[in-house]
Amino acid sequence: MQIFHLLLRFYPPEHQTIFAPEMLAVLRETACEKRQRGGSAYIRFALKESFGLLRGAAAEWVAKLTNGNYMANQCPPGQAEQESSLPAEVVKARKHVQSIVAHMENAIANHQFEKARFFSYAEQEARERLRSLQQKYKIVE
Amino acid sequence: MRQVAPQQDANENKPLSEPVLLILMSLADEPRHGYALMKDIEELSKGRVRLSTGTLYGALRRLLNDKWIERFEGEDTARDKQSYKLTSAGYKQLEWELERMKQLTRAASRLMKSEVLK
Repeated sequence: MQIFHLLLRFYPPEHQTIFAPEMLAVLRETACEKRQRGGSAYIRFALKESFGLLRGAAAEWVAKLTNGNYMANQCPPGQAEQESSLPAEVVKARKHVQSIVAHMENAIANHQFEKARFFSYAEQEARERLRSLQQKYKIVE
Repeated sequence: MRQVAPQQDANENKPLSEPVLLILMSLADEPRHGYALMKDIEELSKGRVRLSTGTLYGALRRLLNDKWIERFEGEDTARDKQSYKLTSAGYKQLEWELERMKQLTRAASRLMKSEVLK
């Protein structure tokens, strides 16, 4: 799975933010299924998906550079509908949490565990702040 | 302010690629998430088409941009198990494509029949 994490980083950042968790979930499920079918099925799957991700990343960069509407009006699942009705400071606090989590995942993927621990503490603080804001505005998660 | 209309117009009534057609067909009966889509597409094509994750999400991104599909928020929707459903524009495109294919099939059958009779 490490190789897929790495290959997904070749995608444009907007694409990564929105689709990377879903793509990883699909890859994880498929990997699990292929592993049960044996070693050669798993290797074929890993090779096919690796080339697919590389080709996909190249295609997405071409789309981004040639299309002014690339990922227009798209945001992470569930966020658009909710954010339009939320107070600005709650939206900001939520984005802060997401950003810290992204940094932490990145640090873990790169085996920078000291850094990951730092972000883990930062995440706890950010979540605490988000929780208090949600209480202030009586928002149920 | 970005405008999406010109791109949508440009994409209307163009023959669909096979992965896009299969994705739209798969979403026609019920919302599905990525893995379910892949499995359903494999079944629909009788094992002939096996989309890679890169191809699937490239197509999903374009379909979302064109507003032919949209995210479906079920009660148990997790961040990494996002489902998609067909929009009315997507449904119209699918109907148009199926009609186009029927016409082609009819024309081809007529031609082949007349060739056999010669």
